Amino acid sequence: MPRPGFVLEVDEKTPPLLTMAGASVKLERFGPGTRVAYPADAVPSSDPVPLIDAALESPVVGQPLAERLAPDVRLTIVVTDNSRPQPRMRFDVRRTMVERVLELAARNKVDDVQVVIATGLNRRWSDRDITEVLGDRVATSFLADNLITSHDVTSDDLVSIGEVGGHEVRMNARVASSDLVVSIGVRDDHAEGHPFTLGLTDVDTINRIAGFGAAPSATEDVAALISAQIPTFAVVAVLGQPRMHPSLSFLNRREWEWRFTDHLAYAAARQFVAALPKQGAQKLYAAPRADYVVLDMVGGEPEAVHAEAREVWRAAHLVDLGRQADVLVASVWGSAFDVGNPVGSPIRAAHNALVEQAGCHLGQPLVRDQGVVVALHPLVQNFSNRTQSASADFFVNVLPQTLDPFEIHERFEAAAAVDPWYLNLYKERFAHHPLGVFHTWYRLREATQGLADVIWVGADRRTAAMMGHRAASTLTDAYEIAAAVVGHRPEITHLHGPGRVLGSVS
Amino acid sequence: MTRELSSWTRTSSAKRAPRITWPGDMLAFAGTLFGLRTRRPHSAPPRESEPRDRLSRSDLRRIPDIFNMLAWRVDYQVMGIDALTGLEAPVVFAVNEQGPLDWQVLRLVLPPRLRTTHRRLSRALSQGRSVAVFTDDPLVPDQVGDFTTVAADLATQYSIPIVPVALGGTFKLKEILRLTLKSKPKVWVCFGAPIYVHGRSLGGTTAEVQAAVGELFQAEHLSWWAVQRGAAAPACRAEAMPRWRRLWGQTSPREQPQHNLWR
Repeated sequence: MPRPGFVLEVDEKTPPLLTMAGASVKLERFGPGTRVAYPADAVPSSDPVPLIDAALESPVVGQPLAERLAPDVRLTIVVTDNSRPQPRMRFDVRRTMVERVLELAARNKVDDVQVVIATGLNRRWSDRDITEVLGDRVATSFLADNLITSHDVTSDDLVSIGEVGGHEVRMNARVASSDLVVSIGVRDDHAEGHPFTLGLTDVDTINRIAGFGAAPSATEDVAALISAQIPTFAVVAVLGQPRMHPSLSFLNRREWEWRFTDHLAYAAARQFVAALPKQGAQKLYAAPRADYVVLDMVGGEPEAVHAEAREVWRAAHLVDLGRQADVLVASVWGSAFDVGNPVGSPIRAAHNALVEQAGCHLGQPLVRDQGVVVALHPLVQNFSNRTQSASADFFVNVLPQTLDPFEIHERFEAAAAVDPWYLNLYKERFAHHPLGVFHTWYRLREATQGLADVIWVGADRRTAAMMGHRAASTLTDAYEIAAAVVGHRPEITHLHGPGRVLGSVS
Repeated sequence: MTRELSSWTRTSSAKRAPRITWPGDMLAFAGTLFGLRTRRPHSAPPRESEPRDRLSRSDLRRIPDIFNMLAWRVDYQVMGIDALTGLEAPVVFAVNEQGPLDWQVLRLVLPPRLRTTHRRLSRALSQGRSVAVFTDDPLVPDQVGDFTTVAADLATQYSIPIVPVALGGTFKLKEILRLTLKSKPKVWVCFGAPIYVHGRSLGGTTAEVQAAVGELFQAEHLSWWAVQRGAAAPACRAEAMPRWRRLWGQTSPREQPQHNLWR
């Protein structure tokens, strides 16, 4: 078992601690009394095959998978892609999971098998993505006959499976017509809900349950409908913290445990990026891969599986922070949210800081009401032309007009959702669906509602102002700005990256 | 633009001049007497030892070790090395016997973490090192010899996978290399999907390993189309089945588990 996360109270003997901002890393000295929340240790993965076989043979609820397979069964394997562990998995455990399920299917002589990738509003998988994630063997056996498809939320051939609140819920046709669906997924967060609700339904349903003013009950109703209509066997791998390649080994260890090689790697990484800001960052941080230990593998009926997987993730990543902070400091590392972009786009950076990090708690916010979040990121206007075209236009055209989610929903959302250029990029060029950025913004505004201020250290002032936030040159300057709201002796909590902390406060 | 931003909110220049940071960082490290003065904070937990990594795609070399002299004397082709992704030592490699340089050839193409020994097998496995188990000499030239149950026995005893490997072009390689050659002799190594022995009999596992190595060995001699038609998998030809199952079977041939009386 990895060492659990803990809270370090900084004293005069504490060495400078690692902070990350986009593609930059830096050792920063924190003031005495600052609480630093360290995630659980990242440990190397081990062979997942025995765990997968055990999960398939001994489900938490329901029959073993082998007993549900027969030659005439119409089987669909759904690979869920709602939550994407970032940095990406060096060895994607979903590949082994799919392989073991296919072994069972082949042994039971199941003829009609297809694989569907449940991407929802995320970018659909290209053939290259499929081969990378699911491996050569699955790709060779299924891609040639188009037996692997990425779900298209705007497709015309989605079929209705019922109504919720007077609205039709449409779903992937292959999944809806299957005798048995095996859902393969990973858990790397504390989110609730059924992965099919956001991954395999139509764009209108997704907008109703995750868009502006979405009610949690709507998600539950859609999940209940899907559970009733689609016979599903779920397998979920619960992941630990990301463990980086030896060239970034200093990210895996706590600063006082750094070895000589870690210091060298740290100095080399900094010099590489400082000497070649674009190329160096691109090489080191554009698409790093990390090794994730599989903490547990859970199989069986979907509701029980997701509940248990969530419980395991909670137990493994929970860190007791004691009390709410006045100021919460978060490092925003580009590699932790945008694939292929070592710095990261500003809207995704804000989402990472305010929703994924500050919002990762057990219900009680990590920062007090009218507190301040200080985030470290350059906020460069840095969007991918192909995959983030809608985000770039949202930043340039929508945010200068208004920040208000209601107004954005009323004035801009409908046009973007049917824009032929964005839809073409989504369908043909593997871009994110245009509604994705709107949903991201709604979550962002919900996260900032109780905050007095959000201050970005080392950020582009115009970009920060465009999002309704403030910018500071250094961490100390940010504290100075925050002092106007929280006073001169605030409780400061720093979330130490790159792993994730599930904070618990009293 | 309808929102009024403050007058000082200007975009900073995107270009950053190259900087030298290495000396400063190393000086700061030297200031701690190269880490000797760094102490664990009071509230921090103690250090723990770290286990070894698993193999990833980046660990797998597509070309052999250039520091090995043998690599310069033969032409290599390595196939199916992706089958090793995700494995961790130890594993058992089940290899067809061709000539005295088989083990050296296998060792040459394997990633360092999976390098094998073929002596004192049980002891090596208990120390976490991978081993290679070879067939007997083939009765017919250009065929795969018979495996004994040693590979299955070791894999069952240590709960580790067996990787089927087919070697070609190594027959009399030692003698060939003594000759004055105009072109380098061709050698190929083909890896198959790992076979997990959990809950299987020794005989069944051995038969499966035998079939897997035989198929890998034959696949090299067949055309792409012949492989697609299932020519490499005689057991599969009699039964009508969708293409995915045939391809799946070809990449990892499997037999129905044998039911033994004492089970």
